[in-house]
Amino acid sequence: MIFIRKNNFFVFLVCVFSLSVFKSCTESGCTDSTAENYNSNATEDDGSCIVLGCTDSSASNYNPNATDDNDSCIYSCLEPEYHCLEINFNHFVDNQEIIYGNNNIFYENNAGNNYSVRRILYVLSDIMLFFEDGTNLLLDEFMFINTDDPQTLTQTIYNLPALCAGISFTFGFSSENNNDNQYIDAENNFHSLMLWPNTNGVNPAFQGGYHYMKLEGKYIDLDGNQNFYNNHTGPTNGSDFSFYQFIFDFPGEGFMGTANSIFINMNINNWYNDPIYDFNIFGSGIMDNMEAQWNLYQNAGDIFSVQIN
Amino acid sequence: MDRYLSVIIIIIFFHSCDKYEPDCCGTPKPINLSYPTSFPTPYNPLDNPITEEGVNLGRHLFYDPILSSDNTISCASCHKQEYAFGDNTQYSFGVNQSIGDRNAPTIINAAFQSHFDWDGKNISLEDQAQRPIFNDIELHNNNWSEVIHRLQVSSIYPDLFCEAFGDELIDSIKVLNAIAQFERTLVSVDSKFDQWLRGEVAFTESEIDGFNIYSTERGDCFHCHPIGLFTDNSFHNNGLDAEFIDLGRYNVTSNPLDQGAFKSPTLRNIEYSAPYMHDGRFGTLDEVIDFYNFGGYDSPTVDPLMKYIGVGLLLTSQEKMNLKAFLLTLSDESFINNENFTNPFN
Ligand code: HEC
Ligand code: HEC
Repeated sequence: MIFIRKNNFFVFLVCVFSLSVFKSCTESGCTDSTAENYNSNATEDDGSCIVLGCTDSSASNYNPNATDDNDSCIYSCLEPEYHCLEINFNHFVDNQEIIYGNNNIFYENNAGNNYSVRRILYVLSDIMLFFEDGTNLLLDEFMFINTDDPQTLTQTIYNLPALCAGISFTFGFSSENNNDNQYIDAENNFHSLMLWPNTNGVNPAFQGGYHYMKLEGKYIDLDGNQNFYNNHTGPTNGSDFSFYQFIFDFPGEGFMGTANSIFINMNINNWYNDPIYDFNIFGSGIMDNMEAQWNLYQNAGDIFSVQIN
Repeated sequence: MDRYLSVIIIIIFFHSCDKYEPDCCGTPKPINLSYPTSFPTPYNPLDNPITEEGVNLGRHLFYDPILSSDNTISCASCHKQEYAFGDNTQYSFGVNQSIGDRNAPTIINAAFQSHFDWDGKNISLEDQAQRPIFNDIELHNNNWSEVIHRLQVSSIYPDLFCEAFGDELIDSIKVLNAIAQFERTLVSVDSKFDQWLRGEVAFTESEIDGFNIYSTERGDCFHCHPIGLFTDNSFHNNGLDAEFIDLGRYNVTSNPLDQGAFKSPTLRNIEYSAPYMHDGRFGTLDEVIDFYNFGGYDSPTVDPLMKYIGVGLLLTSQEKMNLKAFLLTLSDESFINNENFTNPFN
């Protein structure tokens, strides 16, 4: 201290140095005052702004300027402005609700095979909703149903303009919607669970895209032994086995029913009825078996039914 | 007065705006990971963007025994670059020569994965990094304050934290964030397989046949180890045992169908990461292939994708060699030799 008092020049130096620390200059940063990382000193915008908000265009508070989703989306079912459709996916063998597990081999199909169901994963795409006022809406997103993942078994479509009176969809993906890595970022681990390998030309059955369905369990073969079956359907040899045209008018009194909550029920046994599908003929894996794919394709027409909740 | 004026001029002259940046308050430089189209968008939390300075700090922490209670063990003691950030022993030693009961997994392309540890108990790298710091058989600390104290009094860390996060305050979140940033940069995308897909090299006939076995239902490896990341980010009982010592995923979900299920490990760099499986039971790839060729053991929770249980894959010895030849194309030398990942203290 004494030293400083004695030496004005040193004090002056210290002052200049400390002043220079605060010296302002051109700075680049985010110049949008609504952004999280707004920098009030920034004079040039460097494109780094982070705007938190709802990035889902189907939500009622969708913010087109938002760069990052902050889980704030509001999905509204509040009539009269908005309507919703809640879809519950159920899986039966004839009239019995399925008890999933390898060793629950107590179901029987038309070929007389005894079998169990461990899991079912499948895709519905090209989903179109029909409204009571005669208009309709094609959804951008497909639905992925996975019995191992309960959150996929109830799916709700929000912010609809009117009450629903019907639905149509494709089982699986049509060829134009089934390209390699197309759904790489889809939720619920869809890509990893459903991809159909692309063998880069090595094996023509496997040209990429995605499975339509993975239906798995055990069956008892002719010798009485337990075997696994993997009924995986998809674009074998690049063919399009996707099954279009499930169209359902909601049942109701009189001409047409409306609903904001429905069940879509799959009867597993209908995969095996007509033509008869015999596990002993097609075996455990069918991804490169055109005949098995074609058999299941022909069976698909009556696997679903729709019920109003 | 003249003297004063000239000093001002000199100071202003040398104090050009661009150059003046006290290390600590400079803005960390963001890093973008590059990756092929068969990878999902990396999970990169908003509050922990990857930066050069953050990665540099994380790399020091990863290699520094300062994180262990007795300054003997670091993350890298069990996760070694030469073994694709896994370990070459069945179980690894932690502090006090204590030994674990699971094999140290690799850390490869972790930025693109959603679950960590064999049973997936952690769903982010930030959360995961906390576990070994306090685990008795790993770094064995009692609480954060002792860890942070060691970092605060060290000669290098106050500066490294300052560069990485803009101030000298060291806290647990910054420690975990920096480690996670470093781990996210451990990207492996340049194996022979990747080069073949890009059309840069040719496969031998043996490798082509092995790939065909792998990616069709002939061998059916792709369902659980899908092409791209070579893990499906999911959990399966692949039939190693009929009865389980370690219940795996069940410990996390309590779902009886998950008993004996473990995360499908990535098969990238599998050549380097022996021994194999959650308990390191197989010492060589040949043993692993023999196991799958045998078909596995049945149990109530075995995955139906192991569809040749009781029958086996019935691969000939030539086909087994081909499958192995394909698995070896997943080796990425540029990953295990990448100088950005080596010990920064050497
Ligand atoms: C004593 C050996 C040991 C040390 C030290 C250690 N780990 Fe591990 N690490 C393991 C083992 C064993 C597992 C598997 C644990 C489990 O499944 O419960 C693991 C799992 C992991 C995983 C999950 C990988 C995956 O794909 O699932 C990551 C990431 C990881 N460790 C990072 C670290 C970091 C970061 C540190 C230092 C802070 C560290 N480890 C210290 C042995 C160790
Ligand atoms: C049903 C899913 C499934 C199938 C099919 C499958 N794996 Fe695995 N694989 C796993 C799981 C899960 C593990 C880890 C198991 C454990 O440690 O308990 C594993 C472990 C491995 C490992 C050891 C990895 C490591 O880092 O320890 C190798 C190698 C491997 N599998 C190769 C293959 C090959 C080759 C095939 C085809 C012949 C195949 N897998 C088929 C699920 C599967």
